[in-house]
Amino acid sequence: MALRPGTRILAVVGATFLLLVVGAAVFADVLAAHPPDRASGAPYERPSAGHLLGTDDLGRDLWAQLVFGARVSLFVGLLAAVIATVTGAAAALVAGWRGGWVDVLIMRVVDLVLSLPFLVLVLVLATYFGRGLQVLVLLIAGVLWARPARLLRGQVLKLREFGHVVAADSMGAGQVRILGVHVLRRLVPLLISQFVRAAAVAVIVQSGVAFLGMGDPGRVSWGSTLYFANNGSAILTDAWLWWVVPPGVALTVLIVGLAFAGFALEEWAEPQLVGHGWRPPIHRRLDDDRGSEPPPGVALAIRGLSVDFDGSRVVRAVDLTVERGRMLGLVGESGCGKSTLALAVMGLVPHPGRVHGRSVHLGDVDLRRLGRRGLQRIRGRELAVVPQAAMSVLDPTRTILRQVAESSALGGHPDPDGHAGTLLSRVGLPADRHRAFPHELSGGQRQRVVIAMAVANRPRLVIADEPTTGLDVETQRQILDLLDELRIELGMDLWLISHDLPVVASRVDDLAIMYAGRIVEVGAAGQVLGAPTHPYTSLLLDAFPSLDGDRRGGRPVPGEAPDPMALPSGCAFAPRCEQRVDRCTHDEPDTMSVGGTLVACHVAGSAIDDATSLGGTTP
Amino acid sequence: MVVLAALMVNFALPRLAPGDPIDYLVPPDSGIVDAEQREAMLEDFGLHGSSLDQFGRYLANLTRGDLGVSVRDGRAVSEVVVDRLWWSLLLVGTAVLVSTVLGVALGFAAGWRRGSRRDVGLLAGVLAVDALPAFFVGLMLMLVFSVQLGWFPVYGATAPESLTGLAWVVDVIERLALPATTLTLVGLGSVFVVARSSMVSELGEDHVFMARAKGLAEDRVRRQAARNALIPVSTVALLGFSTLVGAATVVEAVFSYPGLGSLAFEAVRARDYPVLQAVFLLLSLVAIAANLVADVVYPLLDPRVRRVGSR
Amino acid sequence: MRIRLLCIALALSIAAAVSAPAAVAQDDEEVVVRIGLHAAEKNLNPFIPPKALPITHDFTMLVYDTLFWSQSRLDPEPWLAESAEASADLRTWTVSLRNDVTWHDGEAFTAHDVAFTFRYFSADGGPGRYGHHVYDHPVFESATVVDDTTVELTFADPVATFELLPGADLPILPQHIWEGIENPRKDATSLPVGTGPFEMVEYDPGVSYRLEANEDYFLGAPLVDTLVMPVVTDAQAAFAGLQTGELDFVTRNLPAPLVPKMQANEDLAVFEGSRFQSLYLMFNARKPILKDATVRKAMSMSLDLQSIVDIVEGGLAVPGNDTWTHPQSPWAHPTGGHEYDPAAAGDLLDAAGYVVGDGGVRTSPDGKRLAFTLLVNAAAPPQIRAGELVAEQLAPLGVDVTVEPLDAPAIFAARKKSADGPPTVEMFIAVFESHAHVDPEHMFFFFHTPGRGVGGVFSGYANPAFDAILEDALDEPVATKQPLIQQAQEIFAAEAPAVTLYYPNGRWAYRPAAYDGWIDDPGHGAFTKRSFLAPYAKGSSTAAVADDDGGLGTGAIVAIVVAVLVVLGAGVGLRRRRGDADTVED
Repeated sequence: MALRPGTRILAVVGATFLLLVVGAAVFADVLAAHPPDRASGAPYERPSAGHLLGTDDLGRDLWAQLVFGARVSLFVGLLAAVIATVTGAAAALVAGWRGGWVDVLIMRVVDLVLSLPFLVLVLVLATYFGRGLQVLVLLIAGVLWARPARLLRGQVLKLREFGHVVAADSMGAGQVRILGVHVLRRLVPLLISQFVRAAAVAVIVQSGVAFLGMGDPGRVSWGSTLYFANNGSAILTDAWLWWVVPPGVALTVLIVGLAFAGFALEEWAEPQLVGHGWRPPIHRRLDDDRGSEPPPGVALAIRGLSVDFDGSRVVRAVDLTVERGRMLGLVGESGCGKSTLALAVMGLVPHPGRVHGRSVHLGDVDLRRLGRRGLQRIRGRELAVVPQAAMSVLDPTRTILRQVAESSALGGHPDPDGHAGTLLSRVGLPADRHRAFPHELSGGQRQRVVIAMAVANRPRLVIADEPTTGLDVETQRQILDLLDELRIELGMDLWLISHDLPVVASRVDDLAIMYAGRIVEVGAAGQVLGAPTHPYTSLLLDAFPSLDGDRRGGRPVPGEAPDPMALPSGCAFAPRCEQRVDRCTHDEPDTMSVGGTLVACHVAGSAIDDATSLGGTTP
Repeated sequence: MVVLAALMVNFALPRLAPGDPIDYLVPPDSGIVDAEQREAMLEDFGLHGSSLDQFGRYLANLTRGDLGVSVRDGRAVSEVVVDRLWWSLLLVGTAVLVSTVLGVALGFAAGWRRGSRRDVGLLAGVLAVDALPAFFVGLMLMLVFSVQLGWFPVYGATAPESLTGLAWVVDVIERLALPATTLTLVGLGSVFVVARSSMVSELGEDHVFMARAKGLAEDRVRRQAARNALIPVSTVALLGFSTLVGAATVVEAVFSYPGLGSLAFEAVRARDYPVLQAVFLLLSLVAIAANLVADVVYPLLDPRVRRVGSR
Repeated sequence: MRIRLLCIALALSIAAAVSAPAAVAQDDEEVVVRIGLHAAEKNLNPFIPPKALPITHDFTMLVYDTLFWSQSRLDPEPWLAESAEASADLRTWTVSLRNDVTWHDGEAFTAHDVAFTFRYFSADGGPGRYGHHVYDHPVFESATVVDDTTVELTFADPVATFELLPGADLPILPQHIWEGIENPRKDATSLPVGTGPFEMVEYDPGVSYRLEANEDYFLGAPLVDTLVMPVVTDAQAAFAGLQTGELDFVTRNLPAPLVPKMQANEDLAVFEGSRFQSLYLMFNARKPILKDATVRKAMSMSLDLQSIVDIVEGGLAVPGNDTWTHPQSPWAHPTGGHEYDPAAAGDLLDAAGYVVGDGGVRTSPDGKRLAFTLLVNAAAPPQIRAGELVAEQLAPLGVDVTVEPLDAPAIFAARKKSADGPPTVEMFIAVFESHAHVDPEHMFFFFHTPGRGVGGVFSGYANPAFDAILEDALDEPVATKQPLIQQAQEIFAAEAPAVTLYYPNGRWAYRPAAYDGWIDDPGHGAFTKRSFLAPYAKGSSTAAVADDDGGLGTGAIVAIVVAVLVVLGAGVGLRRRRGDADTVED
């Protein structure tokens, strides 16, 4: 997984810093002309060619202490981190895997270690056992292992529930293999980040302990150099510049290196962090004036709208119209781009999506020619949305009344709270629920709240994107009825988007079918449903129980929806199409009018060619 | 169970060291103590008898709220600890407060525009500041602001002169400034990182999308995201409290600040078991208290946990 | 909005910092001196072993008084006592006391207090800085109050130097306070009540002390009204405080690299003096190889003490003397010095059968390597540094020394005799204050074979001839005692149970504008009661005191004047002599 540019900078800086320290440690003998722990000059010498950073109170070369100190810090950091992560991982695996009393016991010990004040603990222990660096390393690791243990155990538990591990378990694969192959591999990202963290903490603790003159102040390290500098009152003389700053900066360089590298590794190891990154949409306003005139009598007219994500075209040159007073239904399989289309209309395509298109007219305003602010002013006032996943779109921290009132206030309503109350009552929420928090409501009630928000300012058009996902059939019906009633009551237009053809079919006036980013068939609902022209439409109709109750088969559309990253050449539907002809696999069909509906299909088109030749008229 | 185990650890840890309180009280060149005198002296501090006896007594006294007598200074441990506790609370409390406010502000600012130049800049900056060893920061602050500029005093929590009223407050603030700044920088990083990632993940939430879709201006959207992102941050900030009490040890050493960390440090050197036990106990209590406060604060921020079992 | 709040808070605190006065304004009427203590000393309870060496005794003596002052000289000046007369057998001393002394709480000081003090310390018998001088040597037997100003003190053995010890050492306690205290180590926790020039009025444990002048002091009110004494354990913070104006005096020695900086500061002055300290290297003479005086002497001869002084103390110390005792002590050997001859040291070991083996390390005739661990106090950088230099200098001799810094109780535990056997320590470095050099019985106390004194615990050195001489010296008057002690010191130099590495000098920085009366009281340095009292303090006139203090008899005045002249003359003389010696050695 590639790193984002910002992270890459951090990674490069981190790696450079680490290399610097590692280099100093490895080549310390070459870099330093003097031994770090023997006097090589007079005490308190100022920097000179012989002693780059002068000498300390015993006449020892400070430059040599600096480069040799790298060894100590690296040794402590790496060794403590290795021991802590290995111990932590082992404890986590045993606890998470065995469960039961083993788990309880181990986690109690972890809790205990975590509840002890960390640095104080190390200080106390260092006094007691601090006779050497190795002991100190063990002590630090002995305190540091608890955090990775707790985090990793959580992961192990999650993974244990994870499908393929369970499957492998039931298939009788050896427990050890399961542990090794599946779990450990999945834990690697967390292990890496915990390792780096532990290393940084160990370095800080070792230097802190040495600075306090505990552990082994006789051993040359950055912390002990600072201890003697402090006791020699270096900051009160000029010596701070070469006695205090270099080891301090060296420690910082090492820890920054670890922190940056750790951060970059974490992003690299957990790509979903990158994928879910949200940034505001790039709204590229068209500022030329050659936009088409708004077609008369339409609520919404989309012309040539496309959306790209990282080079893949998710919405492809869509033309779509919501006629005033006619409800439009848009149906397609999940992932066909219908929601992205709605987002594009609203100007909310997330980063790094890019929108192209000729025009999107809402009434006589071309949304493609509005800036970010202009769009924001349209949203919620002229154009409202009842979004997908309506269950989770409410702010969990505020009452629904306040959230609806917020919408009312946008429209400049003088008494937003009162208006919101009226709205909530209108959509069917009893008054005693108005001050409820979203989590206190049922799915249907939440959906009603969202609808109340959408209609608060009597928008021209409401886009309802899968408004009934996750609701039971009865509630679905009620919600759709409500939307329909409000549409008439408030004189709005409604564009209903769904993957569920039957839900839409009985209500809409016009119906559009979308496949792989294209509108493959659009026309009056009765016509599209009654005489589907596109093979995909036919298959979709077959997939659902008959609208008039008679079951025509109910078999799903065979095959799988194509990956927008790798659309087949020619007609995107061709691989699944039972009627495909040679031409379908090379040429993308244009949209053409067939018997009152617009359709993009070579097969249907050829039928019309025949018809045209028969009738002798050209469209 | 855990409490008892913690008490046992609190009791055992100080006793692992070579040397005992008598070694501190009576160095070899200050005279000889025979076994009888030794036991009598230990009895003054309730440290006589076998370890088991001592532990039993410790527990029994604990239930009565009696923490024993400090070996180092002969006063009741509770008194010794409380003296230091206020300063620790002031120092660590200030640092937690400032580092939380600052960390949240910067973290949200960075997370709001994740991957932007501002984000990377803030991230790099905060991680770098976080990487500075506390004692180094302390020394440098002292060098610049006390020694060179002479703006702040260099040691202690109060002036040794008895000041009263406003002068006292001003003096306390002056002496707090540098150690608290140092400790703030220590605590800043973890708050920042959590605030940032919390903001990042909150921005991916549907309700933030909805806020935009319903036409809210960016600053309102941001406020809504921030309100939700604050929930996980509150826990981290409170738990950071007990971490910082420990980290304060080094800072207190640099600035001769009379906090709990330096008390523990001094107590270790005096094998002052009763004081060490009390400090450990207190820090464990602080950790527990921080958890409790988190439990109280959480519902204030997150109505979902306010009423249990509503859905 | 949070950021704005924060900014306001920051701005406020900065404004507060800038507007606040840097230091409390000096009132012409009141002299306040702010002294940075390097360590706390509890409430100066004299039964608790010292924690703030080397200032413990002098700090205590700001609040308490002794019968005489001070033990650093053979002819101490009468203080609470006016005189002390010995019986013919030197066992009973009749002490006449001043009649113009009151305790800080207003009660009158009488002979009863003195009798009580001796009985109380004697009955206690516990460890501490002071008590062992009444129950160990000399052994106090009884006290009889003759009248309010006369007391008879009787000892088990003849006491030749009562004025010095315990006379100039034991703090006199108020009977009315202490008679109710059963366990002095545990129960004496309130502010001390003494007769001294200062009264402790505030004590914030481990943080600060506040002492106020005892206006009714029998030698006249001290020249300083208030001593404010914060405990600043960090050396750097202490000297920074001196520079920034927060402190007027620091009890620590000023490190060499800071001298130019402090001298360059117009507000500060630096002066040097002596407090009879020593930093020594001790061998555990119970250990197999270290038992051999030849090995110890060879090690001693391999140490270049001057170089240790130059490096560790920046030259500000007198190199150690093989006869142990501080050269300015009345008990010093007149010609002692340090024998430095690494080549001869090697020959000594060769002759004794310690041959050089693997890695240049010698082995004993029975095949043991001459490898030792040297314990140093991890909290005392000079000890670590000195230890490192010792190890470095002993390596060419073929002795492998590993320096191990530990904290004090860990070292003490290693030095202490355990139930399982002798102390485990092999070598250690530690520090002594002046008392260890001016106590007439210091050689006996530290190096006599186990039995009496701490010798057994301390060094493990055992030599019957040495012991016999010191035993003879115990009961002798000064004139005959000195030659005996010198004899013992010569044996000591030959057998090297310990090596004094150096005697640190005192060097202090202070703020003359706050107080300029600091003097160097030999054996005490600057931080001592005489620095605050006329006529001793610098610039205070003797005449003024005589006028003020009508209570003093003419004889006493003459005595004081003479004593002062003698002290000053001796001080100057000593200093000049040392200066000469330094020049010669350089």
